[in-house]
Amino acid sequence: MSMLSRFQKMNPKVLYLLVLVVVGLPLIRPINLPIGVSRYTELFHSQVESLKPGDVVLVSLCFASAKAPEFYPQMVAALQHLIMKKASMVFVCWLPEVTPFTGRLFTDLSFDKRGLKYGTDYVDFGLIAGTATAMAAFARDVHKTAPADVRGTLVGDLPLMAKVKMATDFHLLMSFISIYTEDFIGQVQTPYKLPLVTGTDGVSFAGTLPYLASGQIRGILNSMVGTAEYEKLLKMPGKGTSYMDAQQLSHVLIITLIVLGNIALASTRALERSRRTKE
Amino acid sequence: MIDALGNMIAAACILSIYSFLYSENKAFRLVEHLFVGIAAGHVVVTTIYTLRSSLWIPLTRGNTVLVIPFILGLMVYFIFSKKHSYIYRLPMALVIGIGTGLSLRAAAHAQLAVQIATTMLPLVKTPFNALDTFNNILIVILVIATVTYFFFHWEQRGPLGVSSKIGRYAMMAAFGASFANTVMGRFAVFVGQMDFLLSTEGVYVIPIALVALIIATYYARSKKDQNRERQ
Repeated sequence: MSMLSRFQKMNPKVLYLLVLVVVGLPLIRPINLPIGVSRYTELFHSQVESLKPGDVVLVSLCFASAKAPEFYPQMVAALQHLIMKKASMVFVCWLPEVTPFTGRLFTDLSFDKRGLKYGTDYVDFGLIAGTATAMAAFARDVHKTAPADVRGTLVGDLPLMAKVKMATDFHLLMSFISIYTEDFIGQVQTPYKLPLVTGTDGVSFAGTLPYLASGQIRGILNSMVGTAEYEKLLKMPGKGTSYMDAQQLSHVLIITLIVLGNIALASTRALERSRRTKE
Repeated sequence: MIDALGNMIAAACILSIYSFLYSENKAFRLVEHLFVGIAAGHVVVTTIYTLRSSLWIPLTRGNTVLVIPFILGLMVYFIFSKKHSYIYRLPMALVIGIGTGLSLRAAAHAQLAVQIATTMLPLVKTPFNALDTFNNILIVILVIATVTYFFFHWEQRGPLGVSSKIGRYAMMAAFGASFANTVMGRFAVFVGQMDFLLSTEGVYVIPIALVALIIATYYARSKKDQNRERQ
């Protein structure tokens, strides 16, 4: 059996092992590969940068919990920026599975230790069920759609919510979204012409780009790379930066395997063809 | 202490799920069932909390209008009655009607009108910028070519054939970019899990998992040999 045909019939478990080594080693011993900053991340950053102290931002969560390794570092980086800008935040979850992440964010980013007061600086509404219908209703009348927060406090008793009655009262929409993107844009952003920045997973990034071209989205964080770029802009290296070595090396491995696989396939075919012509 | 224990359980679950790459096994199936059960339980608890904040609390504070959606919600449960199952159709009709209306509004404006307007670009950008001009021309040509790919009324020959072929290549390029992003996303998830395993107490579970894997492999091999000897 030739080397090429042996390569083509390689046990997939060998590939899994290669991936494991390529991803694991840079996490143990980082090599600090350089990271550039894309236009999408710069746009996201400049939108947050333009906020004034006290501006209210709707932080909306709508992704499958399995995508948390992509979204959670994004949220940490973006919220750190919001805290730096002294913006007020209203958290809303459109799916039941993302509700635990808001509590985790408040703890990991030490909201209490940073002096952020619940009800004045941030409010968490938890799940608002009904996706597109709920989004439309929330944008039209926040108080009617979310009469109480996740802690059971009536919306009228929350000082921050006195400033926010409907979607137009938000200065920025920040959405971490992998599904129902069209619904959020169609029900909340476009009818009220609000500035929207989104964090997306790698799978949905390409589908989000047309909305950036149309101006419906003003900036995008693309998966882990978006987080690393944002951390670079903030000069606060975090999870995104530490993951990038492993991410980039895994891409090099995949490209190498694709190239080698194609060379092996083309060579095997050429060999077979020449054997047939000889016969 | 509780956090460390939680991290170790999470690490064991991650490793059990990834053990599927070696072969289907009982640890993988156990964690898979656990995940489905916990997810279902979480949805029930979140729903109860949501009902509390969006229905029960405002209702007890005098917002009596909410009785109407509450009754409509209860009517859905008539689906379980053979005799009165028709009752559930009313709330369902309302949900479908409102949902369709809202989706149509969003699709017509946000996804169609705005997107079409975005592709109506000046072919020569003013003030002149070579890259933007090239981009605009490319967008216009590729949008038209891609749309012509979906003209099924006429046979795709001649100019229409050429245009639809360009459209097909444009779509292939878009799918390629989308797939590459998908690969990146999947790796990001894997990197996240690996980091969790290596940077938390989950690291102590790795040697245990390796020993379990070696024992399982040895056991499977010896069983295979025994079956071969019997035959």
